[in-house]
Amino acid sequence: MLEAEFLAISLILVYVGAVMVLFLFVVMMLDINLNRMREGYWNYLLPALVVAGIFLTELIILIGGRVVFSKPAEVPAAITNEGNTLQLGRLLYTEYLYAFELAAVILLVAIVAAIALTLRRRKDMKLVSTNEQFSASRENRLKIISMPTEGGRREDRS
Amino acid sequence: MITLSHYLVLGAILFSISIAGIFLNRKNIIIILMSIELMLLAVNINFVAFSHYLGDLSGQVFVFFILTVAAAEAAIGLAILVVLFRNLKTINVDDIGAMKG
Amino acid sequence: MTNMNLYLIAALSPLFGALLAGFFGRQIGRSGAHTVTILGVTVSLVASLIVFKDVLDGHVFNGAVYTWAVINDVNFEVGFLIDRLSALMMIVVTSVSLMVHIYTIGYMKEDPGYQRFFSYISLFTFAMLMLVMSNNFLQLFFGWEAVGLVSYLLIGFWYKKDSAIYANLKAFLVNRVGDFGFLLGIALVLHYAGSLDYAAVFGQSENLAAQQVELFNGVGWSLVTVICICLFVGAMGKSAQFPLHVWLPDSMEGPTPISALIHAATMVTAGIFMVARMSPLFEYSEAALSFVLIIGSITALFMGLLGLVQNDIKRVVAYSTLSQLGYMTVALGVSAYSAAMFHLMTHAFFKALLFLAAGSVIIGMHHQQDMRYMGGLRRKMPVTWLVSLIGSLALIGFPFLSGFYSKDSIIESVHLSTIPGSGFAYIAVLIGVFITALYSFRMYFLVFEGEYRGGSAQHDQSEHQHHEPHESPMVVWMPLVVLAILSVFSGAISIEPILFGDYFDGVIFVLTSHDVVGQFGDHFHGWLAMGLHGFQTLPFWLALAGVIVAWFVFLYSPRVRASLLVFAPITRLLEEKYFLDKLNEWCFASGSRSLGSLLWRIGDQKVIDGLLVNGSAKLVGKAGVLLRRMQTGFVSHYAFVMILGAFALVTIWLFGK
Repeated sequence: MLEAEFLAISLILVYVGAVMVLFLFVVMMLDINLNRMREGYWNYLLPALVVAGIFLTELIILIGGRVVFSKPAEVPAAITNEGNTLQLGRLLYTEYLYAFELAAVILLVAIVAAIALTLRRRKDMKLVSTNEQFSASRENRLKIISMPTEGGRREDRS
Repeated sequence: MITLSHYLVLGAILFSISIAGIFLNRKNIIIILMSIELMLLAVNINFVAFSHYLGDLSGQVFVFFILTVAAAEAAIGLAILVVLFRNLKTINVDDIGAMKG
Repeated sequence: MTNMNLYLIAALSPLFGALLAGFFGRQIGRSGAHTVTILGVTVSLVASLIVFKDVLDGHVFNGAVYTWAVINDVNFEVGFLIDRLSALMMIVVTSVSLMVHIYTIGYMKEDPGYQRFFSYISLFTFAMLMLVMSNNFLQLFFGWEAVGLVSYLLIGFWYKKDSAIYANLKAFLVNRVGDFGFLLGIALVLHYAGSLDYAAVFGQSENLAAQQVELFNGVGWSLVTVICICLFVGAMGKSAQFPLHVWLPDSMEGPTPISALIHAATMVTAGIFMVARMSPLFEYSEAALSFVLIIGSITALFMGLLGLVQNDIKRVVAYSTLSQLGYMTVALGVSAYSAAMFHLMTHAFFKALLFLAAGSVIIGMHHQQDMRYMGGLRRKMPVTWLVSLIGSLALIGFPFLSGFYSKDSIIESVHLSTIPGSGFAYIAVLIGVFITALYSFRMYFLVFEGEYRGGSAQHDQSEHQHHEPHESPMVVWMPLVVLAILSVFSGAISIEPILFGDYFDGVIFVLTSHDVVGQFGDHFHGWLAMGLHGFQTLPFWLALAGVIVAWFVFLYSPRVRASLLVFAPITRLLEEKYFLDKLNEWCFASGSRSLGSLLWRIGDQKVIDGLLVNGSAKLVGKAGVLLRRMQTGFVSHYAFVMILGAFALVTIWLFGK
């Protein structure tokens, strides 16, 4: 209805395919005691409804006061002729290129952060670093110290 | 006639539902995270509606970016949750009081 | 050499001596210290003599040596004004200083602070020279403060003695009170005349006389009166006039040479010199002149009375100094500036002589200063006896000696004056003559005549019984002889040129209506005639009466002294120094102490420490406790607060359009 098809599809893909799956995985991994979880749920119902209700009312007043209700949907012709995807792409890769790149970086950071936060190594692995093996040298491995001779029985000294 | 206001009201309703969700879910962090996602979605609807009714495509571009950021944030939030659960063995909001000043 | 170099040499050579003796005292040793300082002062004396001759030829120098700063068109500079007045003072200062330096070699022989002492007295000479040679108020004030500082250092020379410390602090503080008035005067001069230079200020003295200044709302005072009175307050502090005289007797805690140098001949005369220098200003204000006159006569009379009950030989001479300073001030008050300067000069000589002679007596008595244990020293210390006699005679104004000429000139001038207060002043100075003779010959008879009382009543008898008083070494009595010669001859020689000649023309300014010295000059027929006539004047008879009474009471019939107990209340009053010291202590000193302690307890401890410093810290702490309650650590609370914030924003936006 709003003629933003690309967004519609991408939203579904992302939210259902990625975010929701992510949530499901997490729920699966965590061992949650549901019953204990649900206690006291309904204690907070009243305040929540009150706050939400007031919020909603205010927002509607805002909307009502500012926007004319029956504004006809004047849709410029340029939008409907070409495809939404094409127009979006054109805009994204020219004017908002910088923002686009930044968004990519943000996603990268998110990936790296998520992994870094939750990665666990097995503590009993004996992984060898080949770099260390190569860089071993005689000086690192062997050290000759001079020590005074111990006193001891004469017969023990060879 | 479906005017701009209808879409805006829709966005508002979604927003307030998610607020109620935050309030109600004292014991379940996952639900709170989901409510946050819902808030972002409500804002997205606002943007697209405005973009359509003002004939400016920038609104949809912004939705694009909000989507990106929302996904990233959800990922990281869940990662933190996982680590938190490993340490505290609970996802009860009220137990996370270690930052009490 | 050029004149400027000469002036600089005169001023700076004592300073070099002082610095060398002060900083390198240990390296150059005792004889090195006294040699270098005496050399410095001698060079200065020679330079002063050359300058004096130069000035007599008519050369007057007024110029800047070094400009320190120029602020808003006002020049702050170091400069010299060398005219007859300053040349006279230079000679007095350097000659008495040289005598004192030589005397000190003998007097301070056993003292551990030998080099320090020489350094200080040379430093004093430098400061005093800067004061008298200056050509602007700033340098005058510098010299003023510097001599006050060195006086403080010297009075407290034996700093381990408690009484010396009390005395030097008293001197400094009382001086400070005077300096406060002095500074006000200088500030007024700067404000209304726009310059600190003497020449510039005196050029405007008529302008200043015409202006009025409002001190209290609606009451207009003549500007020049206010200025002169403020400046005179400074002179009151420095020259120990009533009521700021209280420091001078206590300053006898210092060694005798400095009593001679500072508190007889030079520093205390700085005030007199200053008023004489400011004569162009004072002449325009009859009110200020009357004020000066009254203060001077009160000092002359009442301080003399105090000299009658002192038992310490130095204190007698100290009160005598106070009284004679009163005479000089009286002379200033009747516009007889030249007579005042003349008396300043002669008094410097005979008073320094008397102090140094007293010092010689003290050495001879092995540092015993109480006159009740002296007596009969005429035979034991002949030179000291003779010079003391000469000095005392000069002091009381015996004809032909120097003191006679200067004192009688003052008395005559007062007699001829017509300004308000001169009647009281005349009576005061006449009575003062009697009192002066009484106390100085009381001192003479108690010390030099009669039986020696020193053997029996001293507390450390064992040492002193076989130590008879004997004459002091030559290094001690030689300066005494020089000063005695000056005391005898300086009056007769110089009276005519100073008072009636044109010596002070162009330097001291006297309005015709006030010109009493001129009137006196109409009767003057030369020093010989004046001397002979002196035997017939009232002051002579009064002095003679004083000597006879002193002889009768103190020498002839000691039983008469016992019957004087009827005067006991008066004696008590005099012994307590009119209760002024008690008043100062009770009112000002303890008042200041209470104020200080009040401010410390409440102002400092309660308000600044408690309220401001600790209070603000506690406030921050309490605010922190309050704010900490917001950090519950519960995420749900934080989320709630966030929503509340968003809510508030929306509300404001809604209702704020």
